[in-house]
Amino acid sequence: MKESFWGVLIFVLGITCIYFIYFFQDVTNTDEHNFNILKETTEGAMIDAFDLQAYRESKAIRIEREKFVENFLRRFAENASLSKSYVITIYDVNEEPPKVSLTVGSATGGTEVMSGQVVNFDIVNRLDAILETPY
Amino acid sequence: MKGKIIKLLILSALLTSSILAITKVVAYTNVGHADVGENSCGSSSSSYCYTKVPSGGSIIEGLRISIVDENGNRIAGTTSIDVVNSNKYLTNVTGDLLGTANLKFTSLYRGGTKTSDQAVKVKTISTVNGNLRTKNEVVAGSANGSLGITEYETAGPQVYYWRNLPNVTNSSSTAMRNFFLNLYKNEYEGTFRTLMQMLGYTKANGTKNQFELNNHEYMLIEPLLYVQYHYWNTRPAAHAYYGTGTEVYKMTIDDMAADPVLKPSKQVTNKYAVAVYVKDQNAAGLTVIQPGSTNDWGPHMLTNEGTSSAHYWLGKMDDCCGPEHDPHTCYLDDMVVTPATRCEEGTTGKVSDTDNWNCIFKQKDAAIDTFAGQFYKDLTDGNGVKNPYCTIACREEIDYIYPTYSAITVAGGFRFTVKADSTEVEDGVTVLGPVTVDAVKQCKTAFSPSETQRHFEEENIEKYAKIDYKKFTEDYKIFNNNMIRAWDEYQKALLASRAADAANQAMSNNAGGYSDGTRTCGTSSWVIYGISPQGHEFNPNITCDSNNTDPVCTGTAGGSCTVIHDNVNNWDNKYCPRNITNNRYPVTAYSATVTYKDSNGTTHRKSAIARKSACGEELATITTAEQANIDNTRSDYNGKKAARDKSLEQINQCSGYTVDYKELDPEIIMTFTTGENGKYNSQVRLDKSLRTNEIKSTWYTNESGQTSQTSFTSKINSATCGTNGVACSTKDSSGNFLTVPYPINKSVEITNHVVYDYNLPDMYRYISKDGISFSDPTIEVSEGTRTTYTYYEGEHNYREVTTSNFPIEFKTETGVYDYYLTFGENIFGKDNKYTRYANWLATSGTIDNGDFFAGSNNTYKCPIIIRNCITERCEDETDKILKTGLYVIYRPISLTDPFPYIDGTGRDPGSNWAGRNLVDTYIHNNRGVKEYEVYNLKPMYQFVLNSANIRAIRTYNSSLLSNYNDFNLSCKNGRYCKSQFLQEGNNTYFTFTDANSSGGTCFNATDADWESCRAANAE
Repeated sequence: MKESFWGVLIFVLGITCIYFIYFFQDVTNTDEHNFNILKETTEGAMIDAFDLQAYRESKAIRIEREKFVENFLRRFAENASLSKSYVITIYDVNEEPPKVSLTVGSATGGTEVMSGQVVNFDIVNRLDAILETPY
Repeated sequence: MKGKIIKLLILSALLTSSILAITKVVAYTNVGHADVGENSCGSSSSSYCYTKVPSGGSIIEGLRISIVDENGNRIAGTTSIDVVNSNKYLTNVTGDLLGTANLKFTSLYRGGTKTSDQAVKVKTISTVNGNLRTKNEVVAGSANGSLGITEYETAGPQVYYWRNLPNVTNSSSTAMRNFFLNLYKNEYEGTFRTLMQMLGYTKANGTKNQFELNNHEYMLIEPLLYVQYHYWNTRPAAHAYYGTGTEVYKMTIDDMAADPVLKPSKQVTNKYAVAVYVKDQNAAGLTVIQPGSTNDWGPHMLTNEGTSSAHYWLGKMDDCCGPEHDPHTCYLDDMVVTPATRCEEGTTGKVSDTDNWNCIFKQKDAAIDTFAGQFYKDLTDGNGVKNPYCTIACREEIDYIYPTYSAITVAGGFRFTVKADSTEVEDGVTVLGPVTVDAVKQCKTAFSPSETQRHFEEENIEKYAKIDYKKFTEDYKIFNNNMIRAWDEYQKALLASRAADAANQAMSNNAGGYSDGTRTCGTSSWVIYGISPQGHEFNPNITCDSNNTDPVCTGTAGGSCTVIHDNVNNWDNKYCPRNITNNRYPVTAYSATVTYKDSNGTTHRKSAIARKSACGEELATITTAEQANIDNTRSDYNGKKAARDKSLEQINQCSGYTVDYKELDPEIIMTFTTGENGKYNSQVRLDKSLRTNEIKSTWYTNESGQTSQTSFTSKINSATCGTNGVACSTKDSSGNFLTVPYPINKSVEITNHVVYDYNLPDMYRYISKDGISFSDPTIEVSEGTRTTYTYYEGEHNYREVTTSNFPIEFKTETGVYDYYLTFGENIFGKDNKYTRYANWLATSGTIDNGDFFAGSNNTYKCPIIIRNCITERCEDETDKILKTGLYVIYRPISLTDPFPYIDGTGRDPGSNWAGRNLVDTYIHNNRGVKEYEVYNLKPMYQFVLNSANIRAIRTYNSSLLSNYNDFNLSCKNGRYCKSQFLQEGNNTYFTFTDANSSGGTCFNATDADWESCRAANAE
C-alpha cells in the first residue's frame, strides 16, 4: 500500500508536472504567437490602410483609421488560434502621420465563462507602431 | 582763264587716253585695287610715277567695312571701320585680332629736301563726328561739296589690325568672299560677332537663326588704298592719299583741277578705281557693272555703280554658293518657320509672314494663291476695307513658348498640371509650363488701287503705301457739286407739284367763297378764264354774267381774248370768255404761282389752277410726265448724295478700320504616356485662356506715328440739301461755309497682339479612395484590374481637387518619360490665308507641305522625370528597387524614444514626422496623455474574437479572395470613412466587451466627432 501510494503520488506528480510544463509552454507559445501576429498584422494593416487618395492629392502620408481597424481584424483572424478567444483593443489610431497603439489579449484556453466573455486573460501583448518615410 | 581751260582739257585728254588703254574691267573679280607695287620711273622717264607702298616695303592690304541697307545707306547706329592685315605699316598695335593701331607713314618732302614748306602730308577724307564714310556718303559729299580733308604726316589714322584678313590685292576671285562667309559659318559667336559689335550692328548679339532674319541689310566692303605720286624727273613726292578707292579718286581729281603738275598715269587711274564684286543683282546701293562695258571708269567712280566696293547679304551669309536674293523680288522663304522640336535645343518656335512690307504691298492685286495675294485682307470677315482710297494688308506672326529643358520632376503616384505660371496651385502640384502662344496681327493701309500701277516698280513701295486722301478731296468736291445740281433739277421738277399744291391751298383757304349761292344748277352761263404764259388756264377770280361790264367780261363766250399785264409776275395774262356747259354753275377758280431759285441764282416759276364748282370738285393735278420727272430727278439726287456720303465714309474707313484676330485659334495637343500599360496614357487638347488682347492703332500723318487721330483732320466744303423750294445750303446762318471733317492720315497701322496661355482641360479632378483618378464622378471607374466605388450610401468617397492634372500611376517606375506638344495646321488661326496659301502650294506641288506643318516640325518633345517614392527608394536611383510595395517604413516604436540612434541621443524623424511638433503631439502626448498612459484611456475600438467570430471572418475573407483592399468604406467627401465591415460585424465578426459595450469611443464616431472621439476624456 505504501508503495502503491508512492506510486500514485509519483504518477500524480508526474501528471501535475506535465500539466505545468504544458501550461507554461502554452503560455510561452501563446505570448510569442500573439506578439508575432500582432506585429505582422499591424504592419500589413497599416500598409493596406495607406491612403492613396491623400497621397495623390497632396503627397500626404496618411492611413485610413477604420480601414486599418477592419484590415487588422481580418488579417488577425486568419492567423488566430481557434482554440482561443482574443480581445483586440485599439487605443490610438492617428491618421496623419500614421501611428497606432493597440493590445491583443488572449486566454490560455478553457477559461471562457458566461456570455462568451473572457474574464481572465493571462497574456496581453502591446504594440506601438508608425509609418515613417526614409530619413 | 583761258590757260586754265586749256590745262584742264589737256588733263582730260591725258586721263581719257590712259583709261582707254587699260585692261578691261573684270566685273566678277574680287574686291581690291588690282595692282601691286609701284610704277617707278627714272630720271629720264616722261611718265608720271606713283607708288602704293607707304613704308616698310609693303602695300597696304585692307578694307573699310560698313553696314548698309539695300539702298547703300548706312544702317542707323552703325559705324565703319578700317581693317588691315599687316603690322609693317602700323604703330600702336594692341592686338592682331581686330586690335587697334595707327597707320604709319614715311615723311615725304617735296623736292627731296626736308624743309617745312616742302612737307607732303597724306590726305584723307575727314571723318564726321569720328565716323568714316561709306561709298554713298562720299558720293553724296562729293556732290554737295561737304567733304573735308584731313592730312597726316607720319602717324596715320586709326585702323584695326586683323592678321587673318586675306590680301586684298590680286587675291583669287573668291578669297575675300569665302573669308567672310566662313567667318560667319565657323566663328559666328567669336570673331564675326566681335566684328559686328565693333560695327555697332547689335543684331548679331542674338543667335545665328535670329541673325538670318535680317533681310536687306548688307556688309559693304571697300578696299583701302594708299597712293603716292612723284614728279617724273627727280622723283620728289608730290601728293599722297589714303582712303577707299572712291575717296582716293575723289581727292585725286580735286587735286588734278588745282594742281596742273599732277599728271596721274593711266595705270594709276584704272587699277585702283574699278575692282568690283557686284555679282548679278543690284543691291546695297550698288549697280551692276558689266565686264568690258567701258574703258573709261572715271565717270563711274562717284556714282552708285559697283566700283571699288562689294557687298555681302547679311540675311543669307550662310548661302555661300547660291545666288543672292534680289531684295526687290519676294520669295517664299521670306516667311519664317523656325519650329521648336526639342526642348534641349530651344523652347520657342516661330511662324511668321514676311516682314518686308515692300513685298506685301508690291503685288496688291495678286490672287489669293500667290505670295503677295495672301496678305490682303478680304472683306468676308466684316473688317476688310477696299475702296478707292485704300486697301488693307495684314501679316501675322506667331511665337510659341514651350516649357524649358529643366525637366520637371513628378513623384510617382502624384500628379502634375500645365499652367502658364505656378501661382495658386493647390497642394504643391507640380507645374509644367508655360505653354503660350504669342501672336501679332499687323495691318497697314496699302496704297489705293489707283496708285497701284504708278508705284508698282518703285523701289520702296511702303514709302508710297498711303491713304489717298487727296483723291478723296477731289472726289468729294465733284460728288458734292453733283449732288447740288441734282437737287436743283429735282426742285425744278417739283415746281409742278408745288404749284398745284399751292393752288389747292389757295382754294382751300377760301373755302365757301367759290360758290355765289345765288344760282342754281342747270343755269347756263359763262366764265372768263385766264391763260398764263406757261399755258395754264386759271380763273382770275372774276365771275361774269351777261350784264357784267368789267373789261374782261365784255366779250362773249367764244369771243376774242383780252390780254392784261400782270405787274406782280411781270407777264401777260390772257383772258378768254368760254361757254359753261353741262349745266354747271359758274366756277370760282384759284391760281397759284411758285418759284425756285437754284444754286446758280436763277429763278424758276410754275403756275397752277385749282377749280371747284358748286356741283363738283376738280382739284389741281400734275401730269404723268411731270410726276415721272419728279421721280427721276429725286432718284438722281439721292444717288448723288449717297455717292458723296459714301466717299466720306470710305475715307473714314481707311483711318478707322478695325482689326481683330478672332480667327486665331491655335490648337495644341499634349501627349504624355508613362508606359504601354499606363491607365493615364493620354492625348488631350489643351484649353487656352486669353491673357492679352491688345489693339494698338497708329496714325501716320508724317514719318512718326501718333496714337490718336483726332488731331489730324482737315475740313472740306460741303452742302446741305433737304428743304423743298430751297437750294442746297453751302453756308451757315453766319455766312460761313459748311464743312465736314475728314482724316488726313497718310497711313494707318493697327496691330492686334493676342497672347494665349494653355492649361489642361477639366480632367482627372476626382480621386477615389484607393487612389484612382477620374474625370467624371458619376461613373464607376477602374485602374487596371481594380475597380473603385465612387459612391457609398449617398456619400461619395472621392476627393475633388481644384487643379486639372495628369496623374502618375503609383506603379510607374522611376525614369524619364517624354511628353509631346503638337500644334495643328491652324496655328495661324482657322481658315487663315497663310494656311490656305501653304496648302495651295503643297497641292500644286510647289512645296512640300511638311515644310510648314507636317513631320516633326509641329511637335515639341521634352522629358518629365518621374521619381517613384512609393514603390521605390527614390533618393537612390542607382539602387532603386530596394523594396516593393509602399516605400514607407513600418516601425514598431517606443513611445518614449520613437526615433533612437546609436549614440543614444535620437535621430531626426522621417520627413512625414518632421516639423510641426508632430512627434510631441502624436507620440509623446498621444491622445493628449503622456506616452504609455494612453493604455489607461478608454480604447477607441475594442473587440472580442472567439472561435466563431474567427471562422466567420475567415469565411468573409475567402469570399473576397483574401483581398483586404476591398475599400467598402462610406466616406464624406473622401474623409471620415466608416468601414462597412465594422458597422455590420457586431455579433458576427466580433463582439464587444462589457467594459466597452459600444465598441469603443470611436466605433460610432461620425464626421462631427471624428477627432474628438480620440480625446482622453472621450466616452
